[in-house]
Amino acid sequence: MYKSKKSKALTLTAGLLLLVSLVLSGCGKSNSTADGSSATSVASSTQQAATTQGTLEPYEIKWYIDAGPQQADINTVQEALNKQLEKSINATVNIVSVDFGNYDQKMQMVIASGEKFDLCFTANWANNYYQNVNKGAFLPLDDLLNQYAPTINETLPKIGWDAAKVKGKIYAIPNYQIWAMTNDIVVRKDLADKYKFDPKTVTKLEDLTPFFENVKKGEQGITPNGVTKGCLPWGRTLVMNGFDEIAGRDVPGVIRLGDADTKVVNQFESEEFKNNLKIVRDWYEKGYIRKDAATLSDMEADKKAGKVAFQFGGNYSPGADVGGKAQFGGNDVYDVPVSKSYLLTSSIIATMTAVSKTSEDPARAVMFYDLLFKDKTLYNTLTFGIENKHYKTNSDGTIEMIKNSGYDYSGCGWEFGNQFNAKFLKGQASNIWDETVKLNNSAEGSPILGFSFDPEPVKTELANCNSVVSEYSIMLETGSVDPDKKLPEFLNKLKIAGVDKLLAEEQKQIDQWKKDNGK
Amino acid sequence: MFKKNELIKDTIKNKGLLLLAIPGLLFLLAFNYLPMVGIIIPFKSIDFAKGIIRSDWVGFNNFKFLFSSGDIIRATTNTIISNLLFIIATLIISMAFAIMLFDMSRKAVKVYQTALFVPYFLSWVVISYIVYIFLNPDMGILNQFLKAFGSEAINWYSEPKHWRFILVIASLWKNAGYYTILYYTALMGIDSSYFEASDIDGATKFQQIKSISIPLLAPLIMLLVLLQIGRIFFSDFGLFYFIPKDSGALYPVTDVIDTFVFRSLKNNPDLGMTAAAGLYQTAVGFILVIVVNKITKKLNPDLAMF
Repeated sequence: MYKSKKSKALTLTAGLLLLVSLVLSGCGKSNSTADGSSATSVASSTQQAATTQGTLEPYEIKWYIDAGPQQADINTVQEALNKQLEKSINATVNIVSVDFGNYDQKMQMVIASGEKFDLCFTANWANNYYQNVNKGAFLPLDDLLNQYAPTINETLPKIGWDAAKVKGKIYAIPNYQIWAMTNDIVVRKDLADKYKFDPKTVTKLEDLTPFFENVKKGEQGITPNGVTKGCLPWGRTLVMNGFDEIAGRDVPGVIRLGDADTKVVNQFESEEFKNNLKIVRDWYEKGYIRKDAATLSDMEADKKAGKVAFQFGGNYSPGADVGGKAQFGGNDVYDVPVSKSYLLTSSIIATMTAVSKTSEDPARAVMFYDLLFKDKTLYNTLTFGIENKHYKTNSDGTIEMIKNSGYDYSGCGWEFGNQFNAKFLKGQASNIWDETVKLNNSAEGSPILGFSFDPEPVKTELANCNSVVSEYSIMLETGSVDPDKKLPEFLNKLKIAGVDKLLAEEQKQIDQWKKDNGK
Repeated sequence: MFKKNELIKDTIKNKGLLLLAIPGLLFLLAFNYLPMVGIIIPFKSIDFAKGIIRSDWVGFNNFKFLFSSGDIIRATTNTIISNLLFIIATLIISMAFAIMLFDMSRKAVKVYQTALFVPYFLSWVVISYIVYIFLNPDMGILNQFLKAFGSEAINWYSEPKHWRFILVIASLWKNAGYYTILYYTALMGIDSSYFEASDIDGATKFQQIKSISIPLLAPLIMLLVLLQIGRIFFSDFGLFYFIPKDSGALYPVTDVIDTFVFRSLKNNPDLGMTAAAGLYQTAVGFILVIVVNKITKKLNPDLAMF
């Protein structure tokens, strides 16, 4: 009798314990994040008491960026930023950095759950701009910009705003950096010189073949051409082939650059595509491309180890050979443009910052962003950290990052505001920003610069075409399969997926857009 | 009136047990029942500004993409064929292992049990690299073997014909251990007097397995198979996405509903369309469970789940 009573009591307590622990663990997560943010806001509000400014209430700006895992020493830098910000706009900033691979998903969760945040990085390749605008996740900024962002308005050329507009309204601020799109190639200097290969003479893919042949013959263990599924020759020579994308990379439908009639064509049916596949297939069969290219996501490790001779760069920017040298394991490289420079909607909206619908003080978020354009110190602290702690200044005025200091966004300067505010890294020529602005200004505009595609009327066809393209594009474009057999199959499946309706819709929207804008 | 009293009495009598069940029930409620409200999502065009409830109704528009392309048929057949193969292979292999384990000494059982169970805890990403070591076209172990014996190397990641088999092996390697342990535990639960009696009657091992082990395990087998069939329209995304390294050339056999939906919506994520695919899978899975259970009931009422 006694025993059973005791065991009953035991089950009861055990049950209760389980329940309590479950409830507690359920709350655990949200508690810890709330603690983190409240701690910083408490700390900052005490500081604010000392430096109260104007009529602005203290406000914390939450900013999501796509710049790799959170930096270890972010708190120190945030404190330095906040000290400045409190004086000027009585705000503090809370930066949440998410790694490149997860940013897309993370932002979808953040936005779908209605979380309160102020700013986020958005682009056509991450945290998709158009989809978020269609879903109503971003605030229209036209009025806010006029009121609170004098510097941004002054700095950014009109063409940038045109590119960012969706249905006549601006939903994100383009970051000011390289906007021109110029396809380029990156070649290891030592190998190019050894085999007397002058990258400047390249005008078509065939010109590369002799160099690959020499490397294959002469260099053991070096891949002549670093093609992977993340570095496909077709996508990275789209401008060289004379095309501009309409609804996204690898979505059927392009126009020819320089075609005043802006006729929509299916790039996968073009002669250029066919020719490209033939050459790449030839490279693959001769072993200039790795046999597993179609399943390889990148070759960064191989590049660092000096085992790659050549890659298609994608987009040229002045001074790119400095970054290229680091990627190719310290070997000097030639980074050479192989196409004309164009301004494309896609190349301008590749880096932007949007204000969330859930922001409680969008005006302050815009003011903060304006400061990033205006205030070089603010920009440089954000990008490089604190002097002598995270970076050193050399005698010639260039700076050098201190290794393992816990803060380094020097590779992600394009993520924030105006990159032309940045200090020069060691090895970067002091005229690269001027050169970049010059390139931006001299580049020719695409006939559909400023056009944005609304996928809503054809989203069924778009989803179907996407799935077909992702099945075939990688194996064809890495040369892993015979294009004579697979290309007709691919085109046929696109037809079934409704590519014609998609192309017709693209043409319709472009014609409408041209009419509306008097082009 | 009488029934009500009974219920109260029952509750009071079992209050300890009921209390113990609360966490589990809450879990079920929070993760299985509350999300069912989301069943309206496939029929709406979701606009975050308006919220789920106030978004516009669009009828069956979101389901169109599933059925307008020919690929859904291929994906559905692949899902069913692969899952059937997995269910059969897992059943046979893990039963065999369980019966073998049952005849081993305690110490040996522990070693084998652990060895079988470890892969279950590995993620598909890790396993995909192990598979890659074997199948790498240039330096893979299998191709080295083929070359050593004078055959031609196979470019595994672009030859779909081998992949049904490779997927079954990968699935077995990861999951068979888990089921082995379930069956082994059930075998341990069988009254040992059956085996002793049959020993005295001079039954062979094979006869014992046929007439004692398998019939007594039948309810568990049925239960596990039913559960698996209920999920036959859902595929293990990790297995089908990572093991073939998402190679387009292999889609004719490796593309299943989950990977198909993932691929279609990757560049254009639309909540409504994703949810439509989920509803399609669940609805068909639900029908399958009911049907299989009905059939089981006809054949042997004791084995049916409900």
